Amino acid sequence: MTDKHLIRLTVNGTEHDITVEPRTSLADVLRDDLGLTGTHVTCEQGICGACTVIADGQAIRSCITLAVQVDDAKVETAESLGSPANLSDLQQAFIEEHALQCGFCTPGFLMLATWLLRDHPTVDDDAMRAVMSSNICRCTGYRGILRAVRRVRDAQLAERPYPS
Amino acid sequence: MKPAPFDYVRASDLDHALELLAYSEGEAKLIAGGQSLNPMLRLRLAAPTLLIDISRLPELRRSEDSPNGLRVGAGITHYEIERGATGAAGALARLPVLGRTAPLIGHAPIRTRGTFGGSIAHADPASEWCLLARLLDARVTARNMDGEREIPAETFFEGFLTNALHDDEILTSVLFPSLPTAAVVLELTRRHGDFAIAAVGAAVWMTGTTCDSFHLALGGVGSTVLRATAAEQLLTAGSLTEAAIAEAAELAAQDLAPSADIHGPTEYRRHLVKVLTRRALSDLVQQIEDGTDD
Repeated sequence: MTDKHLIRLTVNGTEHDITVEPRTSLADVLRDDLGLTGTHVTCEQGICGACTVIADGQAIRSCITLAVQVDDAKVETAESLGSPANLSDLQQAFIEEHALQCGFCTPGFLMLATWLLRDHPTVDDDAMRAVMSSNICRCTGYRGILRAVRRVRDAQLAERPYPS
Repeated sequence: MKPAPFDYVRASDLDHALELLAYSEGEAKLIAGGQSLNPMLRLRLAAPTLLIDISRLPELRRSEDSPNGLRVGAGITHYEIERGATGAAGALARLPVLGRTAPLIGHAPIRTRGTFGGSIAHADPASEWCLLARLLDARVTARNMDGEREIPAETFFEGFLTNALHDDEILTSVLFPSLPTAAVVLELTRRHGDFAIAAVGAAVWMTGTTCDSFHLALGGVGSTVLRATAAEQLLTAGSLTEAAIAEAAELAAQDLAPSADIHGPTEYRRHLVKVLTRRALSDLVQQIEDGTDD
């Protein structure tokens, strides 16, 4: 039996000190130790992206990231995006553009899109499509997802002050 | 699946990592981004007893331009190269094909964690960095507790997922000793982000308007990245006419014995090599006409 490690994760603004086995993924720690089941585990091989979260400002696949690897990191999960009464722009757009059906891939897509628009707010349609194709959706055929992201990108750009 | 149990330690500096590696006697594995290793651990294709985390070592995350060439740190992530961020900023200016190649690697959320050196050490014949290293005759720096050595790409990639590192060595950086006038990397995937079914890299070194030498590298069509030496000789001896490009493409595909797999029979990959070689060389001509690699 291997020793457990005490790690600190700041998740959605709250600090947690957790004891974990080195082999435990960040996804499993978020879900099982912290009860944040918004992050979904599906393929557990880093292929589908349903487990996507943001760690220290970067989109990552939490099922192929060990929790110990991100000790001291600031992690954002789907729970940080909004609440039922106060959805994020992307969440609202996903509803209106039919960007989800079963919803299983949705947290991963939302975190990916949130990161993309933050990291690269002027991303063009082709580059946006390339990034959004990182994740697998079996239900929607992707077009609603792309429409939603494009809509929020355009709205956010329209709100920006003109460069002086 | 979940991985089998192992211990984990974050190395405090490079010497600490080297000590841990030496004392583990082959039972430890280094982890940086873990984007190849973690999936393997989850499939239990690898079962080390200790992981040594080298991802945050600043010694591995610098790049350096010198008269000897361009040195790229092993710990720089694919995404940092793509965006010209942190340690990669200068490197991109000196070798622009790095920035054009990075987006071909997997998907963005993998590129934020996966590292340049990790990909080279993994020695996958379909890997874009392995292709570029072989194309440009890069030299890999391997360090252990006794010192350093440089391993040319030609001998570094020994076979499928097999490199020339000893158990106690860490790949610290890769040197590109001679930067080309223009370079192109192309690959064929069914979906963006898939492993390359076939990949071709082409590079030219010029003095003024004279082409001094051509390199052509092939990925995904053998157990390691290959150089198409017959095609290279043809191109270097002659000029980049359409006829020469077509002949080079034929030569590149000759004598190849790529595996048949779910993507297609052997002949399919040979065909892809011809197509990609023609395209890569045509792109190279375009770059030269546009005034080389800016």
